[in-house]
Amino acid sequence: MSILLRLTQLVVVAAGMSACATINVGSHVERGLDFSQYQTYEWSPHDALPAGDARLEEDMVFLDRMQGAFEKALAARGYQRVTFGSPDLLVHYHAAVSRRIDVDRLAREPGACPDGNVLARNDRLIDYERATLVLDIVDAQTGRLVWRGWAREDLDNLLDDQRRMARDITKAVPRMLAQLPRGL
Amino acid sequence: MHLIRISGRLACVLSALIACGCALRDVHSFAERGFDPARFHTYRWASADDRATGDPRLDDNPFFQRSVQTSVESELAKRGFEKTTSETADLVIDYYARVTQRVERAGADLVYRSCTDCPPYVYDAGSLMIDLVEGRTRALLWRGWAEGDISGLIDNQSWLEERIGQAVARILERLPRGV
Repeated sequence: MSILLRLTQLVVVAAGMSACATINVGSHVERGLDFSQYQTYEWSPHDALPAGDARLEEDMVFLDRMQGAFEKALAARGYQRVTFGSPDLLVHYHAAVSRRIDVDRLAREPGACPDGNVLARNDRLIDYERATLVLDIVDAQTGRLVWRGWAREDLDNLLDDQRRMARDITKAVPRMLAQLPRGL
Repeated sequence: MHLIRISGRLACVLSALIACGCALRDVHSFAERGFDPARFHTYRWASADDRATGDPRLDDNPFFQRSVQTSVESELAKRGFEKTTSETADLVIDYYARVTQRVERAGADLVYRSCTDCPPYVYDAGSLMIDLVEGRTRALLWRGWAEGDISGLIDNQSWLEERIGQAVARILERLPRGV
């Protein structure tokens, strides 16, 4: 019985923690495309996505760290930045922030209420902000999007904590770009 | 007794965590009274003026858009509709996708027992709506949509495409036959 109880506690706490401690990454890719044809890229200002969040997109420290992390990760995947001539790829990013809700799970750990009906009495909704960083890679010749990657993380005072921001960008960007097919 | 209660609670928690069916399960449709698909043979896509989804991963995402359109075209072809780019197409097809968050009480759908202490949970709710509009009059003739829990779905392209195909098939199953 105690094992079951402990397992329940573990699952509940893990579920609660997972909502605020993880960086989720994902990507969509043009299927069947041979990425070995691409070797070079340059940053592009074009962005067809809705306007992003000014706190991120106008934060020069954030942008500088992010761009540096992207360039390092792209180099590791075999793509070289060119600042002159015609690049094979155009790269741009978008930082959006959305409001999210969650159930305050830590408040309803078993034992929090002696009558056992802890969930009905202690549950409360919390709201928080989640940042989504989207990187789009476009074929410079055709203008078609060939890859989109993203990383998502709860904002949670990230902008006020430069060390955490640097750490999280360093962690998230390589994970995101690990899903990008390799260039030459 | 206490063991059963704890086991039940564990089952509730686990079901809340893993039973995010991650599919657009609920399917509905409306039809204009007297709508007879047999009168319509060709269709074209509406211009993609506003495809905002509420999720930056899907906004202006050609892979997602192509997946929806390919699925719709496949299902409509099975029903005898012919795609055209002509402005005089019989039907204009449009679709809308939306991602929001919803709160549910876990265990609310249990049939054989109650679950008074199941925790509520929050999930990403997705909806996909397909409209069939008469090309000549621009009147909405038929609307079908699917909605459900899509938590974790968008991050996996193959899974997303598979679920879109299933959802579109289920939506268009509700289209009256007759072509």
